Amino acid sequence: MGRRRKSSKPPPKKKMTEPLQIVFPCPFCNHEKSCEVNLDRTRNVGTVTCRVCLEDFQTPINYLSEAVDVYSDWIDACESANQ
Amino acid sequence: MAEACKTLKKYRNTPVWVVEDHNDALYYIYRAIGSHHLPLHGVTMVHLDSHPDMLIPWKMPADTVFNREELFNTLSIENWILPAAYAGHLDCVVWVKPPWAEQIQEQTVSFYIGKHRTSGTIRVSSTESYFLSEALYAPESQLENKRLITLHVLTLSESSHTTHDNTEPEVKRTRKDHQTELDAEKQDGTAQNYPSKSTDPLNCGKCTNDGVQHRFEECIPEDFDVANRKILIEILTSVRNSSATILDIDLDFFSTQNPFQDLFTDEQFDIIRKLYNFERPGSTDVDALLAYTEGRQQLLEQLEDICTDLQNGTDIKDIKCDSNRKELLSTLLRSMRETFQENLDFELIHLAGCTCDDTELPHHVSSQEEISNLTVAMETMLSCLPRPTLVTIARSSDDDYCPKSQVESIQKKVLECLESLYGNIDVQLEYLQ
Repeated sequence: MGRRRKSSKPPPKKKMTEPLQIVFPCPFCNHEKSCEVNLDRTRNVGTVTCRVCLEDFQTPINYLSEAVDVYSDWIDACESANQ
Repeated sequence: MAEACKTLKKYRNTPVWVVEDHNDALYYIYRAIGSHHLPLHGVTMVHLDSHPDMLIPWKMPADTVFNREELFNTLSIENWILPAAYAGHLDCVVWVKPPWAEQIQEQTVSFYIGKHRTSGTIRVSSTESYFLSEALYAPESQLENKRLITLHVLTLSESSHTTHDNTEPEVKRTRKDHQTELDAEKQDGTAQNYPSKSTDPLNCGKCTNDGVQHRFEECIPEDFDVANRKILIEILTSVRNSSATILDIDLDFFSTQNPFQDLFTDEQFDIIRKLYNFERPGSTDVDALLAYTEGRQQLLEQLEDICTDLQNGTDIKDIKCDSNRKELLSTLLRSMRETFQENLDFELIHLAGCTCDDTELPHHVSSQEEISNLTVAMETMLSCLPRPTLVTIARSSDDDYCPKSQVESIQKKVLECLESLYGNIDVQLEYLQ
């Protein structure tokens, strides 16, 4: 048999279950909290859209992806386009 | 609309997540999959630990693996790896164990993991005592959504590596080599996938054609005296076929305690052992194994229920079980009441019982010299393997598996070793958050 905790199981750490950030600043118009992410879990597609300047971006996701991953992909794509 | 390309992303510096409880490491592995730094499937985990951590939450419905929040609420230190294998993320686990860990013997073995047709829980087709004693066995024919996973078990001892040049410690020597390598990278602008060009078994000139096994052997440093070189070669072959590698280190690999040992007297532990006694079935026939598994499951459920009832104040007289077991329980209870008086924790007794097996939980508090030698052996072994996508480290000191008095120094040594192997690493001390 395997090892066990020495005490009753503690409550899960907040960070593990807490939702990550879901609104972000726009890399085009620089407005704070203007970009919202939509995670389409059925099609496995993430979309980020700026509600101020209407710039948007789409990227493949998986069931473990979060809004921050879609936004990070956008920033990476912007950086690579600027190189 | 702009679209992203679908290739895996690369970290600038290898992230090293340091957590306290080992199951918390899975959160960071899942984040790396979600952010496309790790592929969704086909990952190999190299797991250095005094414990396999390869159990499965007994009653958890298999489909829970796809509900992250529920999964993290269910997992514990002993059962966080195989749910990720059932989900398809891991298809190969390398358990690198110290010599004092004997829960699973050195070998390379493949078995199925899947959803049990009747119970809907996750079960494995392996007949290892480690799984049988937890009633986690089910034959392949009773599993659906099954996946084949490969387990390599390798013993790394402090004598696995002998340094020829005694004038300079190995860690220091490797760091210097790495610095030279970094300087070379700066000059030609290339990045290394392996810690050292000379030990790259997949890309070095020796290993690009047929006869891979023979050539892998040539790539293992001559002074690396691992007990079973054959398994190391098999590990290198698996790594070659995997999409990515995760390096996972429990600091109790270097020095470990059985945290239950000092909680009870020898007499009390003897009774607990008798109550939870495990004897491997004599036959390997599927029907015999199934009958055994069913009996074992009933026993564990009964003992869990008894401990819950006693915790809730039920009198021992009202506990329903066979007379032998009741007698053992009564003796244990009398002895425990003398030791603990009103602070009797029956859940703790059950947890301790669940660690009793045909093997004991490992207990080996290492000397500083042993820890240093094991660190060098680990560094030599890791130099044969490709650079991992990410590293997770569990301290395991809150539970006393890694001695509190040693955990800081072991962590420091391990981080120095990783820095010398991989250069710039991004260390995140998550246990301080």
